[in-house]
Amino acid sequence: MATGFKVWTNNGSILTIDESYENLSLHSSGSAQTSAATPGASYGLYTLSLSLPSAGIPQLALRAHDPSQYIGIVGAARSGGTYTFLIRTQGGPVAFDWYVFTIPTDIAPSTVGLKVWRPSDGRLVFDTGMKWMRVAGQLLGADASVGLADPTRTYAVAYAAAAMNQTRQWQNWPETNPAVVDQQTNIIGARVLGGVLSSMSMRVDVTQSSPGTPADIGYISNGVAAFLALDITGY
Amino acid sequence: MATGMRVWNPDGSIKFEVTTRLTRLLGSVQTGNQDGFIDIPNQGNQIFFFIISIDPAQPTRGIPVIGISGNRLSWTFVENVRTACTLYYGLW
Repeated sequence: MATGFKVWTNNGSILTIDESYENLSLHSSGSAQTSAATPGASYGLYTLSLSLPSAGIPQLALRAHDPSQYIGIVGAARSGGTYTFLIRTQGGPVAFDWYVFTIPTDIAPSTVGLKVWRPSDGRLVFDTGMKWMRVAGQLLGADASVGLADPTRTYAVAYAAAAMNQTRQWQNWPETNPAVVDQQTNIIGARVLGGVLSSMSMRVDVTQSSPGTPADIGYISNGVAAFLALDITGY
Repeated sequence: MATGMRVWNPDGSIKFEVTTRLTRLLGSVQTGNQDGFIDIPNQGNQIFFFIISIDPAQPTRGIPVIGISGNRLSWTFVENVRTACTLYYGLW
């Protein structure tokens, strides 16, 4: 450690904040509300667009005002410096807060507190005035849960990996008029309730007759759902 | 707070506090379009996490399934369509 400091903690570990420290910090936050669910789309929908000054990692975290509600994202798109996140809730409308963390070089430093610079290039790597990303738990997969160490804190769910899938199946011969298509969509949402991070597969079935097929929500994807519980107490 | 560090604002409110854990990013790895893994160096009692970043210009179909076993972070493609990702990993 050329520059920086060490912190001895309650659990006996030593945390080193030196010139090699890297983390994301809070860039912006706000509140929004998903749309009302309809018989044809029983998700609540919201599209969040944000302008970020660089191509750094934008890490989105969400917290429904009613923490019993599950909330998820379908994916993200980027056009220039604008990132667009497609947010879904099971049912709606659901009010929520959003938090975007990114690399600290994109965030104005504070004027009070303690800072650490990297000697090699003068980059500010740590600033006690920044609202750092604080991971408190991780969860993989749908319909799973994990307890967090301190249920008294306030948490938002960050989306380490979004996963959803969508399938369509003809319910009669395509040549039949009207053709009937069943579309099944699973989006994995998550919540923190009572100090437990849990996920749930939010499934929506839509059956529609021709002309036309059920509206495509735009993404057909797989992978694994992964969530981080972020401690946003005081943020 | 028995041990740790706190920084206060001029008005007396707490600006920064660390008493147990500290999140930090360690690095990143490109998955390419082949299955693979990376072993995260053991860092005492800290637990590692990951974040997948997909090039927004790429289709979201065909991203790999991520697995965690011990200190190993692995990725497996399960579709014919394979979309390369960047995996960021860190400790908390």
